Amino acid sequence: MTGPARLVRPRRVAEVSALLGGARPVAGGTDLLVQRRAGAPHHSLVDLTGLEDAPPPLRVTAGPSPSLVLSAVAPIAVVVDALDGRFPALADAAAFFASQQIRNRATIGGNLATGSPAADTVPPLLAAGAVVTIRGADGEREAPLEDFLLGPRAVDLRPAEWILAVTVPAPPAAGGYRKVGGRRALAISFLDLAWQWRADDGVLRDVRLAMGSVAPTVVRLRGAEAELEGRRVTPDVAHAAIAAVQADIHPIDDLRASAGYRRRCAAGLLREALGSIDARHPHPAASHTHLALPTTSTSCEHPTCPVSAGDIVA
Amino acid sequence: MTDIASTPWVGRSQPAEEAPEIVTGALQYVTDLRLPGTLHGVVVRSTVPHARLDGVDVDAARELEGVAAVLVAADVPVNALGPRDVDGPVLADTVVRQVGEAIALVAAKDAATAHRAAALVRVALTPLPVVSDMAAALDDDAPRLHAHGNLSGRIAFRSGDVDAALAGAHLVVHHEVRTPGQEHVAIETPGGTAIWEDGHATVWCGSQNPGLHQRKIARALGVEPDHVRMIGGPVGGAFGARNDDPMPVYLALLARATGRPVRLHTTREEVMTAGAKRHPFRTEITVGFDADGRILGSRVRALADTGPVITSGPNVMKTSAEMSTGPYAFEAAEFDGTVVYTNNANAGAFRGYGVPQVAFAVENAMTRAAQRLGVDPVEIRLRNALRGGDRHSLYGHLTTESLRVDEALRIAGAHPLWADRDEWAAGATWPWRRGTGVAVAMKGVGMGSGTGDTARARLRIDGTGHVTIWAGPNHTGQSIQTTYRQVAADTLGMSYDDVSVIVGDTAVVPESGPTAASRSTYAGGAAVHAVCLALREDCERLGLHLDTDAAGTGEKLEALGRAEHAAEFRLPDTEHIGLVPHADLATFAPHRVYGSCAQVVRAEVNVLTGEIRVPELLCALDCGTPINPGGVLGQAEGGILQGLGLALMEDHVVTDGIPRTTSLENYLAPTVADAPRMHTVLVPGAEATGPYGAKGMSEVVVVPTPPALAAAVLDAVGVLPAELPVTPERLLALMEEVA
Repeated sequence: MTGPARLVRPRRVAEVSALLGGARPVAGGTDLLVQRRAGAPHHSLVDLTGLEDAPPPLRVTAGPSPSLVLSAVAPIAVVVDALDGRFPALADAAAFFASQQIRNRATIGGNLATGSPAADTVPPLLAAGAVVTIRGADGEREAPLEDFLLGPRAVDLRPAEWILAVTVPAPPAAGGYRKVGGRRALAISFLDLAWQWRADDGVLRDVRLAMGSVAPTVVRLRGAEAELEGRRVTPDVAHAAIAAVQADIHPIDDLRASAGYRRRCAAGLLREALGSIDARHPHPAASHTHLALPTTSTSCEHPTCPVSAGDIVA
Repeated sequence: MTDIASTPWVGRSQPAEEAPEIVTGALQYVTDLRLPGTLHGVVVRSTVPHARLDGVDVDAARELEGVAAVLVAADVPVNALGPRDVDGPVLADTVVRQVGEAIALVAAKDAATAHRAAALVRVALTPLPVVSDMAAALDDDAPRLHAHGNLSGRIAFRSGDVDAALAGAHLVVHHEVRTPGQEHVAIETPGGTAIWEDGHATVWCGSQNPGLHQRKIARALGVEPDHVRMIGGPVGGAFGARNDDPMPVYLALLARATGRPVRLHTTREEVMTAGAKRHPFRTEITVGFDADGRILGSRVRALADTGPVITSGPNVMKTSAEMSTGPYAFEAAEFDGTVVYTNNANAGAFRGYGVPQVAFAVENAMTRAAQRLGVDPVEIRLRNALRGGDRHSLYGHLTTESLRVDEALRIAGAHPLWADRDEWAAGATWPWRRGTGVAVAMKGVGMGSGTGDTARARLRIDGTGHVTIWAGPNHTGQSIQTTYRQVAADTLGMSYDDVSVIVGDTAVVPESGPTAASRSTYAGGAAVHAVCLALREDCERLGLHLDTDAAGTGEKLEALGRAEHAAEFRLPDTEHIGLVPHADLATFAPHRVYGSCAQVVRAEVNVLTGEIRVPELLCALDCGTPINPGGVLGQAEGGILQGLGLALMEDHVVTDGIPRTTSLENYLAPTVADAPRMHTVLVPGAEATGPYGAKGMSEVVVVPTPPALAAAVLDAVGVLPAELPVTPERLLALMEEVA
């Protein structure tokens, strides 16, 4: 397309790629509007919200180990409603994603395509082993989310390609998400963590951890995963896992937080997540962990916990 | 004193009269006004913090088709925003001293053309060294921003022998705090419309002080003030920002230059870059206590950064000085405050006006003393509380009987939020800890003794019996006219619906000073009360019955030529000025009337991340008679949230003179998700000089929140934050330091 910026609104999935020569795909537009206000050029746009044959907000595949196929072009609020508790870490992330008004417009596809290391839906999707379904002129291809994320504002989308859907194996019940930001809504994260695992009689299996805003892309914490895999979370195991976080993250200083804070807070977030299962801070290892279970301890005696009893002024 | 049990209107919550229009979106704010043939204005601003302005080439911009005017300093008849050099120019002339400083004004047929023309303005600049650190601004080798240097103002005063008091103290607490620049974040950004007709300017633009803006416009245009009509609302929020705002002057200049209506509306990024902020302060306090926690003496030193021009700088420090002794009674006090010029953001009036900054130091010191002495934090404050009728600790002047610091503290101390704090703390869930903090503050009502602070009102009754009142201070979002109507209705013995109030228009409203200094209800309400009394007394003399026959009364008064009345209320000076030399009364401006507020904050701190959550908060508010209790609650809750923003997240960051937080994406203010459950309890009381016993309250509510939060953090995790805002990063670092 040449000349003034145009907006086209195709009705069919098959029509989209042909329209993308010189134009950008748009769905919620919530990031695009901010970029334009900051001076970004006004490209022609192909609106993905009018596709009559787009996938439904959620499809659960049949079979013994069902997968969740999430629409990349439906509003996040609609997708999370449809999940109805099937993917608690994503629901938690959505709860802290911007505001309800933005969740009513913004899409998972947009959140992925933006390529932000601070994108809130990415850690739970990455931890869950999400696969991105990409539509192009020659049909569909699939890319593991981990490979799809190339760097800040850089993703593996080739000319005329757009994101149709995201597929994740149905996650285990134990999982969660924690975001640290400057306020409790409408805040870009200082950092965030998504986790999932299965706890078999106290032994962790299939441990998957993903952290945002600590590297050029959201990253898996593979070192910490390896320390935890197949083990019980004793204080020593927790300590080793927390220490291993540092090698997998490469945070920077920015206006929101310093690299040093992000490193300490990264350790703290994993500590908090593990606190839901370790013996020192006993919590049932089951189910969706909101980390809000009662304890009577007034100080933490664990070696990795920054506050000891001596800090407390009675 | 008045028994409000018998008043049908005063003391009963009344919805803001414009509330239905606000919630339905029907209200036409000043920036919504559209006149036929309106031109669009744009301000060309400096992108550097300090530079010699070698020239501004506007030829290309003026030649662009559709451009009606491009104005530079030489086009402004009197290029000054005030009578002194340090008030700064309307448009930069020989130097720019701040990123965002206005250099040229453009008016064009539409916004796109105006922006294109603005981009064609060529500004030749020679960079100059930047004054970015307030602590270094007075160094001998600091670049000088004004002919006399970088000292904007200093206020110092001493009562008693502080050295001796500290030497004899059982405990001396020394504490240093830093408080940031804070953005007002009024929902409506500055803007409006102006027209120029027959040598007269009419300007619709938000203003807390329409009379002052009228005079500023007249000065810049070189015309008489009565050739300028300033209509200062409806405006979408102010909080101090519509006091120093030069926008009305820009509008009037463009309207006169083009002869056409001109509309200008700044973007959020523009106002966050160029608009005034709360003064950043560094404050140091040394307080001595006896073994029982009684204050023996205190010394406070404060340094404030007012940016490149004076705006409210020294006046803000004047309020800091007066409140540097907190709401406490003791014998020996010293204050020394300095305001400096820098190339940072210009700072100006902001709700609390210099009090939150020093109160954070004072109250943190009280919190620390309570901890060190093992005295309950409410009790130590009660032992020192200034009581109504006491002499002020710094100036020795008399306060009025309505001051109820002690009762506010007693209410806070008896409330379950405080009384049950141990039980609440025990319910914490790792890694969160719980703590509860308390703080108290007071603030003067009005501009202070010796300032001649006066509010005025006019009134007319018509043949139908309807009463119209023109009164000030102006409405800037608090719906002060609703309050004025309640006062008028009860004073006249009429229904609220039979009274109209008009505010904010210099053509019809008598000069009443600013919507500032917590004075609107007290002073404006008193002027309305006085003008209504004048009418009522006239009726009584003439044997007319307003309450039973308003229409007949109106008809007869019209026939007699007595349908109009005017009155004024001059804020009474303190009855005894104490230690302040009479000739210096206005310099220190001690108050007669004070409001006070105690708050209890519950905080949860995450020991692993430094995050803070505030689930619940109590506000005990000493405001005299609440004319409109619903309005008081709204002001209290809004003020608390603004105080929590200052405490937890709001921070206008400027590095090397470059503002970094220029949008609401990176300058965070609290959302409703951050708002605690707030309980506001009104302390019974009445101020004898106020209308129906009322006094001001909308500033003092901001003040105790940050120190109460800091005390709650201390209670939770054993560290007392001394720098605002208490971000997760700062708090985690503090906890690690101690560990």
